Amino acid sequence: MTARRSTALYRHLSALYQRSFRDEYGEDLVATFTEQLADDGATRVWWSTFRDLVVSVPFQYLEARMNRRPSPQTVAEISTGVTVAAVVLALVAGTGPVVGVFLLAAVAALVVATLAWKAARPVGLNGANRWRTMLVVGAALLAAVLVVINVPPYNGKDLPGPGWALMMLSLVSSVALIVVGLTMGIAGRSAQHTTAS
Amino acid sequence: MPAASMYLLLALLDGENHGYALMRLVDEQSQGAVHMGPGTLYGTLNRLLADDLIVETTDDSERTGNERRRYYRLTQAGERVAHIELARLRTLVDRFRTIPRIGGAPA
Repeated sequence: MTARRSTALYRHLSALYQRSFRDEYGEDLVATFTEQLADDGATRVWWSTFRDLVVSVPFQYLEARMNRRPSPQTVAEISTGVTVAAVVLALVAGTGPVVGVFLLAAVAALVVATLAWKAARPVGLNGANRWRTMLVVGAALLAAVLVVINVPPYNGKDLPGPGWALMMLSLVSSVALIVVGLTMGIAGRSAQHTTAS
Repeated sequence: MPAASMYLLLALLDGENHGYALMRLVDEQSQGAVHMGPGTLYGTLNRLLADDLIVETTDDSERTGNERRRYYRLTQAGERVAHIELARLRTLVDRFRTIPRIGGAPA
């Protein structure tokens, strides 16, 4: 088979690739195949190209299908939205068990957002000490809240004006920081352990 | 990390290059163990681009006629990952060097 015919045949075969991949790399696939033909000869190139097609064509379809899932960024955005909504609802709903449910939802959504954010980062680039900072800031904020509600002049008394809302927000933020810090720390350690082993 | 991705990152440690040259480099550096076809090559490059480990350095205006080539180079993240992979491989080799049964000398 002449080089020209081989290239024409490969061009037809490259139409088997998933559409977006073909649109992006169709010309590069053919150009690379042509260069291979010039360097290695038709027999060797067709043998390796056949194997390549058998493996990479289905793989591209599979990858395109898998990528239809919401991206980690979308998951993080939705989770952050849920967190904000839950905190606002907790503040509006006032006291009672419903506040606990909303706050729990906020913490759960933050954990999901953190894990999605971490999943979106390339391997080996985890912020090594960021989780410690979050843990320390969360603990400090929690300590500040505990001090304010247990030390005069506000111990056992209603906080003035928006003070209650501010305390609730600080409490939720501190718990969220601690939970997210712990989640990142554990995920980072297990990733390190996996890489090491 | 799949072998094709790892070899492409390691090949790019030498500097930017185009797809076909990278394919040749990988073939040479792996001593024929990783022989990629065009589909595997561009599929892998596409994933490395999506992961921000490499960037395309050819702009659209240069991609015309016979000189139509896409060049790729490592990002800072890609370079770090390549070095992490190298360190991991070194550790692996060092560990197995101490096992006499597979030809190594005891530590």
